[in-house]
Amino acid sequence: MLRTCHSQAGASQWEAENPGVPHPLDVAARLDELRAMQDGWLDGDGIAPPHDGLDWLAGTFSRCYSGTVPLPRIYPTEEGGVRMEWDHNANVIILEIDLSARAGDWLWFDRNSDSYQERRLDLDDIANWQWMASEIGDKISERQ
Amino acid sequence: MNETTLLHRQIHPSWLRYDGDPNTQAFKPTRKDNGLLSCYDGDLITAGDSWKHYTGQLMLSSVGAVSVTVSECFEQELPVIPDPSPFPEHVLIDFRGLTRREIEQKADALKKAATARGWTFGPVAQP
Repeated sequence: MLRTCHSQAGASQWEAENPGVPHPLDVAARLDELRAMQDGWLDGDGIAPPHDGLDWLAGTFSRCYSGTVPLPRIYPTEEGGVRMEWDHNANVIILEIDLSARAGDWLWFDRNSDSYQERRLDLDDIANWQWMASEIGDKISERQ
Repeated sequence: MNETTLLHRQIHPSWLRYDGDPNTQAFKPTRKDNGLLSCYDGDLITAGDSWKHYTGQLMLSSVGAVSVTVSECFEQELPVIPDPSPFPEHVLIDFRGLTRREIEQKADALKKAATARGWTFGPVAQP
């Protein structure tokens, strides 16, 4: 089952304060929201994410994402993909996912230095999810 | 326009974070922008009037405006170009020739500056 929040305590507090509203880091709910998008959603531009791609991502995320690291914020991309963001102190991680290619462009950078890291990841390969979990755990160590 | 001039950026509703701040995508040019991020010259128009123009005359979507100074763009080595051709207050922040990483880093820096300043107009409730 897909986790719905960074922590049970956080989920409970959110539910108490926002009855009936999905937690903002509820990945399944956020991906479901993206199903309602239509082509042209960005003032005439913007491709709607394909539903089969969202199905694939929801299933893959549920199976492969580590339960021990923070959940991402999720946004649509103009190209019909999904963008995941993790942001903590000086560390920013962005994963832009091409749903058709089932691949993601990973970018980490440190706001306080010139350090960065870029990789193209095959997201059907669980080894890449394990690698991401390790990186996210190292760089986004506290709750967002 | 000088280094202290505020440049007002309209925020599409899809670029709102759950905490109510805009996300980095609001500060990245889209494909149709060809590397040039559209803003309003704050010496010529208020943030509120820029929102009214954007949503009422241009008929585009915005939940409100946030602003960066010209100086904050220069700190990121982003040129600022007046472009009065579509309307007199139109200004462009030039991201052309940058890599994906550079665009993300500079957009993140602008977002941080703008969110530290807070909304200069809005955000307005969405229907």
